Amino acid sequence: MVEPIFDYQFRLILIGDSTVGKSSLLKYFTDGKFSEVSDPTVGVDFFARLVQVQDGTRVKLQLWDTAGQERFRSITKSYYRNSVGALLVYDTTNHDSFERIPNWMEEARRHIAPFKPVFILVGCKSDLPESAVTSEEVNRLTVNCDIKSIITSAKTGDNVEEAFRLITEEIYAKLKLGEFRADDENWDGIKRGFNGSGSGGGPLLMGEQVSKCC
Amino acid sequence: MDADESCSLAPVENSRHWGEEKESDAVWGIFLKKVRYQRPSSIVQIVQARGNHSLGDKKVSSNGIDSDEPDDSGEIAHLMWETVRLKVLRAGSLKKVIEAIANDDTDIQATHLSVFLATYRTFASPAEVMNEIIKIYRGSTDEFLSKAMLDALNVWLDTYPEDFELGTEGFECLHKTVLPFAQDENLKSLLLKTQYKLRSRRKMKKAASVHSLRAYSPVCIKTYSLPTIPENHFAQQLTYCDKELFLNLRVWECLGGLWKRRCGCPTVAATVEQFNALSGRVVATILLDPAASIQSRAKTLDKWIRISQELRLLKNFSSLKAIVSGLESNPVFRLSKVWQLIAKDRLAIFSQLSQIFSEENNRMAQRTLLETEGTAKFPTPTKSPKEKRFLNRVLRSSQSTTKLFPAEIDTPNGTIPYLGTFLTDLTFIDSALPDRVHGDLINFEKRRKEFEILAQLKLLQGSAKGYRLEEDPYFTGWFSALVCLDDKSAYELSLSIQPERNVFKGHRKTDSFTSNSSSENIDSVHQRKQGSIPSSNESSILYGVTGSTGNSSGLSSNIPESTVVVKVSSPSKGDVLYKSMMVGNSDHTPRVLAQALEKLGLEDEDPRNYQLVQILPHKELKFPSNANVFYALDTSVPLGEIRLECRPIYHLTNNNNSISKHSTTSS
Repeated sequence: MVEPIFDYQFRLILIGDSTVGKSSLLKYFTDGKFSEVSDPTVGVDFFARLVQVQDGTRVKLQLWDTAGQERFRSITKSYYRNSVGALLVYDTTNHDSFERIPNWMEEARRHIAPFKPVFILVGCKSDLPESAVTSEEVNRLTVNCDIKSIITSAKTGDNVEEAFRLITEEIYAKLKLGEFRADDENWDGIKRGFNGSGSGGGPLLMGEQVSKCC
Repeated sequence: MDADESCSLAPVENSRHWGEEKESDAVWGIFLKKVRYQRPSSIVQIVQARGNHSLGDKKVSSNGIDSDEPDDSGEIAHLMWETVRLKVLRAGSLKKVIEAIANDDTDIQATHLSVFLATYRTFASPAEVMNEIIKIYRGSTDEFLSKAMLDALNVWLDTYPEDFELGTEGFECLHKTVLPFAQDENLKSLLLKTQYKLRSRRKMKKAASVHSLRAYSPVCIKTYSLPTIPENHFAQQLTYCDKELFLNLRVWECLGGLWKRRCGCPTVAATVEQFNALSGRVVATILLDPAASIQSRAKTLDKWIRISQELRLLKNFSSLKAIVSGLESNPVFRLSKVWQLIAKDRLAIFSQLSQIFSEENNRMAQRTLLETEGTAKFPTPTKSPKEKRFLNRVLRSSQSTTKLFPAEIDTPNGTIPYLGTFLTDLTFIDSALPDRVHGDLINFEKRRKEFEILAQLKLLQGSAKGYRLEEDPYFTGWFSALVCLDDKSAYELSLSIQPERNVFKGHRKTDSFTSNSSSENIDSVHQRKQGSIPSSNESSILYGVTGSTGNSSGLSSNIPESTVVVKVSSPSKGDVLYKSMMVGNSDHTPRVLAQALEKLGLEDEDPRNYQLVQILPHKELKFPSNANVFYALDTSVPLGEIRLECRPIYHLTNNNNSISKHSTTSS
């Protein structure tokens, strides 16, 4: 009865140019359920997944995707404010989308301030095998900005789990170090979960949705 | 009210899936549907006989009457139903998809045609479709099929006349195909109808453009001011503009496959532009005036909340969302000192308004609201008593409306939705489902799913026609002249109004609030559960705490007492029109130049090679190399219109020696 469904809820935002495959990432992460999004009778949290971090703590990831709304500038901005982490997504075959990553990052920083968001660089591999972004370029960016990076496949869903796991682990580590605080009344980036009711979000399906991460 | 729309939603209503049928270029879903008959009593016998006969492989329930449906009392005896086998196209080649318009059941044909016309742009061009239709029309010996093709062309012309516009490939195609067959009376009359339609559309457009010319006459500017303009007038004018944009919206442009790839979606782009213009102005009006007191900023903020209330009553969720997200963007939202001065009631209303757009449960609040109020004439939700109380509260506190009440509120209204939700849904559907299946067949199931969303938009468009609003050209002129800020300047201005260390949400490891968070503090923070607005109570507690250990950023000591916002540009950076930046009363030329160059992305340039010039309407003002820029500025121009230029020195020495000399000798 008082069994907690999750221990923490992290809010994450997916950002990047409009064609980079953000929604494909989300599709794999949420089991493609969002083809049902528009049905108002289904009150399910499509954009939530439960992941378990190394020490067994259950974290509910609340994902925000502004897909299709990139050009409503203030929308993205108001989403930022309540996020603890951001997946910076680019298309590995589209160099421009990679070049704009620093802009997206700067914008996110500005709008999440004074909180310091955790970033992860996610390259989305589409059908084309050739990458337009060299690994040196990726290295330079990740070293300069001190962020992790990962390449995922929009076609097969490879590494999608891993991308979300990486950022979750990093946020959790920072939370343990005290760099973040849960239950800040004015910030929804991190929430503590009590009985699964306290922090909003709809009912979360258990069982199959719990992904064990090692 | 939406019978024709809703029947298009499920592939087939009241039916069950039987199986799938595959051909080389098509995949069909087979459904069994119960069809009910209602006949005059005189032919009951015949009906019964027919009904029993055609029930075929489906067993009749004992009475043959659908018990789920409400009885029409005396009619019961005459109601019979039979089972019909229906084919619904799941996937097919372009030819098959078009031929399916002529499916022999009229019920599906109409739906199929609507789905097809609304979504074909994701898999074929207008010319390709037109060619195919005419090819089928001319090549078919089946009279029914030919007639269906002709009907399809007529419906197409009626519902999407823009595809037949002069100069479009659709028009040319029709012309080219029809000319050689001018003896075909049907096609000829279609062409005439098209030409007539185009003429009347042109006339209408002409009238509209004359109208908008009037709107931008320069006399309009400065007729209104934000503090004095009545909120309901402001909201009505925003709604007038949004209504025009929404009625002009070509819903198919919202399709994920098109909008995501930015393939010519001008009407969506126009909606987005207006939205951004509004939320940008919300932010700018609160931050811009450097001389404004906290009180006057709070007044502006309060004004925007009042305007949003009016928008709620007008059911204009687009502008409402624009204002709410402007107020919730970090540069404004972080100004706890300003929010503190907002009355409690107003704050409660704001947080309720913001709740409409909550992301929880897949934006459930917004969806339910659109469902209940979308096509209603008044903002009167029937479902939730809580919502009812809230609306009453909004109504009561909306002074302007109460004044005009009841005449004003009796005006029937339409609804304008926030388009972003639809765009996201359509983007998700687009990435969730493949465009092609079974080799290279068009996935028509996907198009059906997309059409569900487009149909909702169409329905709302219909209701938006219900607005009775007149344009006030003076408002349009005034509003478009309001200044917008770029993202970075907005944040910097916000920091200058309230430095970061005073922000209520400290959180770093070393932060005093974390370590000092006694139970007492936490409790008082938790007292305020509703919404997420920094209340005065909480803020003062936090200020106390941060203040006592404070000083982590040390920002405050550098904040100039007075600042002015200027627009900077440079001929070395032709592609950027200008950037906004602040000049403080202790800033001298070198510092301003350095900052400006950095703003413009010319940080590698040496400021010493540049000269600072103020651009005035009829002259230029060159600053000495070490002047106090703040006091030297010519402030006769309107605030927010002060323009500075960083001019490379060589440029000056080449053209005008005396000026460059002046700049080096003075100071």
